[in-house]
Amino acid sequence: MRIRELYLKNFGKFSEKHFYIRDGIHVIYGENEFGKSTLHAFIRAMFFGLERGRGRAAGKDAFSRFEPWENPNYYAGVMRFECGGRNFRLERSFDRISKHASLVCEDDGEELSVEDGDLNMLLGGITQAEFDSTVSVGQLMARPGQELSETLKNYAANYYETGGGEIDLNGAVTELRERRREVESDLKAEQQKQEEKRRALFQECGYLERDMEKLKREFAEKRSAAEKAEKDAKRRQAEQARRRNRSVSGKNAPGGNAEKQAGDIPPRKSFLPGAACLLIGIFGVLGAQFMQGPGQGAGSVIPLVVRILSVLVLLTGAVLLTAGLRRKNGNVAESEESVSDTGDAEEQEHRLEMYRKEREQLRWELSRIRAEWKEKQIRLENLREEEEDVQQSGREKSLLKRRQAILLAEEKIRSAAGKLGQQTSSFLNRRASEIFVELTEGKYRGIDADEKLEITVWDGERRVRAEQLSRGTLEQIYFSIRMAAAELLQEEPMPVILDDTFAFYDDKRLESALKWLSRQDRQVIIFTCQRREGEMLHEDRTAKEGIDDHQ
Amino acid sequence: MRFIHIADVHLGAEPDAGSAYSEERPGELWGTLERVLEICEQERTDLLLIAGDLFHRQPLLRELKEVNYLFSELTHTQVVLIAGNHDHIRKDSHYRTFQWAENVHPLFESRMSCVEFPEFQTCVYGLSYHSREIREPLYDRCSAGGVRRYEILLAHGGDEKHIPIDRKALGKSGFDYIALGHIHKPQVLEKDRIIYAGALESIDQNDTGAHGFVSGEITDRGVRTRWVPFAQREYIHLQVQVDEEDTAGSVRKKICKLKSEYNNKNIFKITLTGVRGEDVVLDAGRMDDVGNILEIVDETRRKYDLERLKRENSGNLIGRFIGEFGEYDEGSLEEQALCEGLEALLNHKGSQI
Repeated sequence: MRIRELYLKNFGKFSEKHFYIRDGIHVIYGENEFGKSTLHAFIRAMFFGLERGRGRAAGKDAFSRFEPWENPNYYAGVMRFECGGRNFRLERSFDRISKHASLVCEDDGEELSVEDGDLNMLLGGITQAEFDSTVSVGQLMARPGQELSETLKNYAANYYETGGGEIDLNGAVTELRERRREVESDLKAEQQKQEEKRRALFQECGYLERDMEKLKREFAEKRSAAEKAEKDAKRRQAEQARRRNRSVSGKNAPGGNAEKQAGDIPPRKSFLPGAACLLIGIFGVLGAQFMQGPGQGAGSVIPLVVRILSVLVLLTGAVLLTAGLRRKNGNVAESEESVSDTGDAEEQEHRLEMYRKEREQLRWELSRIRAEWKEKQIRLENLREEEEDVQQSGREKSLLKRRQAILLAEEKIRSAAGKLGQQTSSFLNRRASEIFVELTEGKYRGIDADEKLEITVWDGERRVRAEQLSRGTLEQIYFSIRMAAAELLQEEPMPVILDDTFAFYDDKRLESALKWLSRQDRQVIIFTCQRREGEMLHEDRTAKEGIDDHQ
Repeated sequence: MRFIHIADVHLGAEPDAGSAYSEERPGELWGTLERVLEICEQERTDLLLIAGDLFHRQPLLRELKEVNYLFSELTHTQVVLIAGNHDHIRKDSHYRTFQWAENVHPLFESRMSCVEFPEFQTCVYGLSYHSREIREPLYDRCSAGGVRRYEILLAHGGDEKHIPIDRKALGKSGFDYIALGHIHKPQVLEKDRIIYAGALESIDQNDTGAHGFVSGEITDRGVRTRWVPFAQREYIHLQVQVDEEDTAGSVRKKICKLKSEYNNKNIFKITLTGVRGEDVVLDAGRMDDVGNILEIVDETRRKYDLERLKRENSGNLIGRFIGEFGEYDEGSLEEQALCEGLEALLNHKGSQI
C-alpha cells in the first residue's frame, strides 16, 4: 500500500494541514518541535484508530497527547491511500462525541466499513502491535536499567519465538506458572481439609480400638474371675466331701487297726455277735437243765460242762452286747456332733449359691462385653469403610483439573513457541543477515540468534556478542531484524516509517541503508531532523524524485 | 392389595448438607422413614417393600432394634426387606441373628426366596447381597413362580458391579410389580410395573432433584402406581451468570435471591459462569447467607472468539497456540487449557518492548 495524502483537520498542533506523500523514499525534514512525531502518530491513528484510555494512564496516552491544542472537540483527519491498484479515502474523527470512521473507494465510490474489518483486510491483517514492531521504526530505546543489547535481545526473542504481535512469551509463561502455584496452594489447603476428615475418622477408629481393647481386657479379667470362682466352688465341694468322710472314720476308729476295721462295720451289725452269744448261752443253760432232769445224777459230768460253757457264752454275749451298746452310744454322740456339722453345710450351701450367682453374673457380663465388643467391631469396620470412601471434594477435583489445564497450557505454549521459533528463526536469521551484511558493506557476514536467543554477529573470523557492539551497529541489527520480520509477516507491503532512526549511523552505513531501502518495493517515509538523508538522496540520482523538503 | 415401595433409605449415613443442615441430616433420614411408616399406618397399607440399602453400612444392633421397634408398631402393614450392597450380609452381620417382629419378613438368602401373604394373595420374591459387589446378572433369569395371584420381585442393583439388569429380561419375568432399589434417582423402567423408587432422601450432593417413594395398588385390573415426593430437602445445582460489572457483593445478592426462589430448605451447589472482573474475589464462605451452599464452582472465564483470534494472529504465537489444540469437547481439559493460555498470552500481548 502507498499513502498519498495526510490531511490533518485538527490533530495535535496541526490544523487544516495537507501533506502529500510520494512513492519511493520520502524524507520529511523538520527541526525539533516541527511535529514529526505528531505526523507519525497521525498515520498510526488513521490505520488503527485512537482510543481514549481509562483511569490514570489516560493522562499520558496518545489520545491525550495529540488532542488538538485548539478546539479539542474537533479531533479528526483524513488519509488517502492506494492499495491493490485502488484508491481509498479514510476519514476518522477521534473525539468522544462525533467518533466515527468512514472508508470510501474513490474509484467507484463504494463505501466500506471499518467496523466490519474492511480496513483491516486492506492492511493485510496487520495488527497495531505488528505495525509497531516492524515497519514503524523509531530508535532502539532501552528501558531504564536495561542494556541496549538486552532490549535488542528481547525484541529478537519476540520475533523468533512468538512470531511478532508483541507477545511477551516469558511474561505469559511466568503468569501461568504463578497461577499454577496459586492453584496448587489452594489445592493443598483443600486436600488438608479432606485429610482432616480422614484423620478424624482415623482417630475415632483409634478410640474404638482402645475401647475394644479395654473390653477385651475386662473380658479376660472377668473370665479368669469366673474360672477362679468355678474352681473355688469345685474345690470347696471336694473339700467338704472329704471333710465329711474324714469326720466319720475318725470318730468310729479312734484306736488301732482292728478296731478301725470293726468300726467299719455298721453300728447296727455290732449288736449281732453279743446277742447271738447271749442266746446261745441261754440255750446252753436251759439245755443243761433239761438234760439234768431225767438223768438224776447219773453221768452228770456232761450237763455240768454244758452248763459251764453256756454260762461262759452267756457272759461273752453280755460283754459283747454292752460293748455294742457302748459303741451305739458313741454313735449317738457322733451324730450329735454332725448336727453341728449340718449347720456348717447350710452355710456352705449358701456360699455355693452365692458362687453360682456370681458365676451367672460373670457369665452374663461376659456376654454383654462380647456383644458390646461386636457392636464396636461393626462400627469400627463401618468407619474404616467410610475412611476409604472419603472422596475428593468437588472443589478438589476442579482445582486438580485447573492445575492440569494450566500445565497443559504451559506445555502447548512452549511447543508452539518452539515450532514457531524454528521456523521463523531460520528465515529471520537468513533474511536479517542479508540486510545487515548490506548495511555494513560486508564487514559482518551475518547475524545469528542461538536457542537461548543470544545474538551474535559473525565478522568472518570470530563471533561478537551483541553487548560488545557499538550503539550504531546494534541499531543496524535492530533495523535488519525489523525489516526481515516485516517481510515475513505482512502480506501487504506496508510503508516503512523511520522516525529519526539513523541518528547513530555513520555516513557510510546511512548510505547503504538508503540504498537498500530504495530497492525495496515499499513506500518509505523518513522523519528526520538532519539534512544528511535528503542530501544523500539528492546525490543519489536514482532516488532523487523522492526528496521533499518541508522546511 | 395396597403397597408402598421405598429404597435406599441409608440410615446411618451422614450426608454433607452445608453448615446449616449437616448436623441434623442423619436424624432426618430416620425422621423421613418414620413419616413413611406413619403413612403406612394411616392408610392401612398392606405391604411395605424395602428394596435394599435400608442402612448405609453394617447396621449396629441398637439400630436394628430401633428400626424393628418402628416396624413392630405397624398394626396392619407387613414389611418385606432385602439387604443391598451397602448393608450386605456379612459373616458377622447382626442381620443373621436378629429376631424381627412378626410383621417383618426379611429375604436375606443369597438365592431367590419368597414370602407368601395368603391374606392378600401375594407372594414377594427377593434375594440379598452377601458381598459388596455382585457382577452376575442374577435377575435376568428369574421369573414369577405362580405361587400366588400377585407376585412381586424386590430387587436391588442395576449397574455393572451391582447385579446388572436387563430391562427386557425383567419385562418378560412375569412379575406383576418389580420394586427396584440402588439407583438413587427415581425412574420408571416400565410404567406401573418396573420402577426405581429412588433414595427416600438424597444421600449425596449428586442426588439432585426430588426424592420420595412409590405408592401402588394391585387389583385384578392390574397395577397402578404413583410416585410421591417425600424428602425433606433436595440438592439443587444452580448456575449463576456473572458479568464484568459484578462485585463480590452483587454476586452474593444474585446467589441469595436465586436460592430463596428455589426454597432455602434445600441444599445448593452453585456454578458461576460468564465473565468476571479479574480482581473480584469470590469467597464461597461469604456467599452463603443460610449455610446451605455446599460448594461454589467458579467457571467464569473469558469467552474468546477463537476464529477471530486465530485469523488476527495467524503468524504469531497466539495463532500457533490455538492451532496446537485440535478438536476438543466443551468442558474438556483442552478447552480449559486453551482459555488459561490465551488469557496469559493476551495479557502479555502488546506490552512495549
